[in-house]
Amino acid sequence: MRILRRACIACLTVLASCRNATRPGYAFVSNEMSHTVSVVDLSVNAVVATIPIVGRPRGIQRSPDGKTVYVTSSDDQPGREGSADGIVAIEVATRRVKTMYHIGTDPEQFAVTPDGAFLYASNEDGGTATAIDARTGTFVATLVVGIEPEGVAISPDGRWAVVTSETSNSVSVIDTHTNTVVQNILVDLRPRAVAFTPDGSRLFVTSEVGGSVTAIDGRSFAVLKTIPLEGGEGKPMGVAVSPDGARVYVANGRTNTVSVLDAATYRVVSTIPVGKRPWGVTISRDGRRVYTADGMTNSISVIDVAQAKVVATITVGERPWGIALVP
Amino acid sequence: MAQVISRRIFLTHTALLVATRGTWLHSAPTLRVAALPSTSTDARGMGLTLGAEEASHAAALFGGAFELVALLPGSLRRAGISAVIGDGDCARSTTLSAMADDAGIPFFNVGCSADTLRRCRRSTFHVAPSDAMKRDARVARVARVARVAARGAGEVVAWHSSLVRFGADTLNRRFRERFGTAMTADAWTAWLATKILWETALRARSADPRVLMDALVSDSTQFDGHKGLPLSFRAWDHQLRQPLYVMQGERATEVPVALRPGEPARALLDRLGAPSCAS
Repeated sequence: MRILRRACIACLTVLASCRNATRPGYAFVSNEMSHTVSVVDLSVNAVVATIPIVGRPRGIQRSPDGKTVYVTSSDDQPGREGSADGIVAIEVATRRVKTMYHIGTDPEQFAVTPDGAFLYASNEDGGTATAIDARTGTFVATLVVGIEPEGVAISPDGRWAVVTSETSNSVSVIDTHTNTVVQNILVDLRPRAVAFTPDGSRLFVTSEVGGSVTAIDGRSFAVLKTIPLEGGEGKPMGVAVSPDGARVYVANGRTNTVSVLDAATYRVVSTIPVGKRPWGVTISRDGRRVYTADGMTNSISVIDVAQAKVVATITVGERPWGIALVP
Repeated sequence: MAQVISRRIFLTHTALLVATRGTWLHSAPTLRVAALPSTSTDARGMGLTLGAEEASHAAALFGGAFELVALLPGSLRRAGISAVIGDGDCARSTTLSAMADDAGIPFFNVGCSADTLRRCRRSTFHVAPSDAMKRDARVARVARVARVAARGAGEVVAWHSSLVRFGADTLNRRFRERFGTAMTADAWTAWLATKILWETALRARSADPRVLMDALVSDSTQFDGHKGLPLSFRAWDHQLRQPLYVMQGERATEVPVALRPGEPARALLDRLGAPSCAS
């Protein structure tokens, strides 16, 4: 009897995990103009909830345990910190705002450490990056980076936080153990977003005005290659790397496309038309779906990776900016 | 000379130097640029000040340095000056242009729009748009928008404090916070001149004037001026390719010079201003 019971529990566990693995989950989409976050049920491709945000939401990330979605909020008075400036924490289960952390003026992008303990955010006006405790929101460190800091990513092992800076065309590398800037990297014009490969061996930085993406070694932080996209006309913004590290997806804002790069050869293997002005881009855990936030069509595009084309378009709020996926 | 470095900037640089000591991947030069004396309250002086502060910040990231010094009589030939930035006086700019040629160092025209200054001197680079560019911009604007033709297009400018797109709002905000006033076109060209000079030196890893001049007209050299398109110098007349704006009341509107499919941005920008040297 005991053996049978254990077997049943094992079967149920496997079934549950299989269900989780195949269930597409939810997309939390930040809508910059409507000051909301749309919750999209990806199993039916429909908005099932809309969460008001006090300010203008842009950068959006989930906690590693999937229980919290963080989104930046900016007030309409950039240059001075107001009550709407900060990072909002949304409880996924209740889809309610549970707290807000104030991290300086006009926050735009940030990243969560793999253990979920800290957030690293860029402060555009201050030329700094800020590390805060994800549980309490207390400041841990403020670091001087380049001019007009923007994109943030953290290496999969949690050791490095990298911050792009648009005006100085630079990427600053922060050692999270010591919270010091240990290196600065010169890249193409107006770097925006940055993403690591899952093994941390490389990172990819988009350059909006340069019209390119730059591959950087994840250990030496040497520039490996700068890859032009869309004949320089695309204004690359969001970037995501597939879970197997084989493909890099870049949202080309102006040309309304996503470039798919072979991460080994750096060649563009396909270009997929999506909605207008794709900005944020993210990829599902199984690597089968890529999602873009299409700012000028108020929608997200669902790309089937195998078919290399959009298979669904979901209307969300006004001027969608970024997407975070939760199970 | 408007080169008082604020306490915040000084502390920033000190922090950067301490934090990143000995870890630069990119060997960076020390660049010394001379500019005509100005006050800290005129537009060009403010643009130079902000540009120098930001170039110093960016230089410190990579272990380099940027210095803005006053241009004094005879100092063009003084060792260590890598470039000269002028002002809006066309007669003075013409003299400096000739002197820079003799000295073999780049001269940046940041205020004179006269086509007659565009004489294809090897050492002269025009950040300020030419009269020809402004004329073409006005024609393009009027041709594209009927209501503008009816009312008459306003002044053509290289920059305006009402610009928002492509990070223009962040630059306008930085300027206003630093000086308490709006960033004008004169301030923008001066700011951009310092940015261009520093970035060119950093990418070329040299402050040698001749290296800089070659790099400035290289096909691969381009800059971000918060205008959305990559900016570059025409190899033949050293005019900076750049989008321009037509004033409509208190707001600046980008000149709608259409990009044809498959056409590079440079070709678009070359439609503004005759792409040839003045005789």
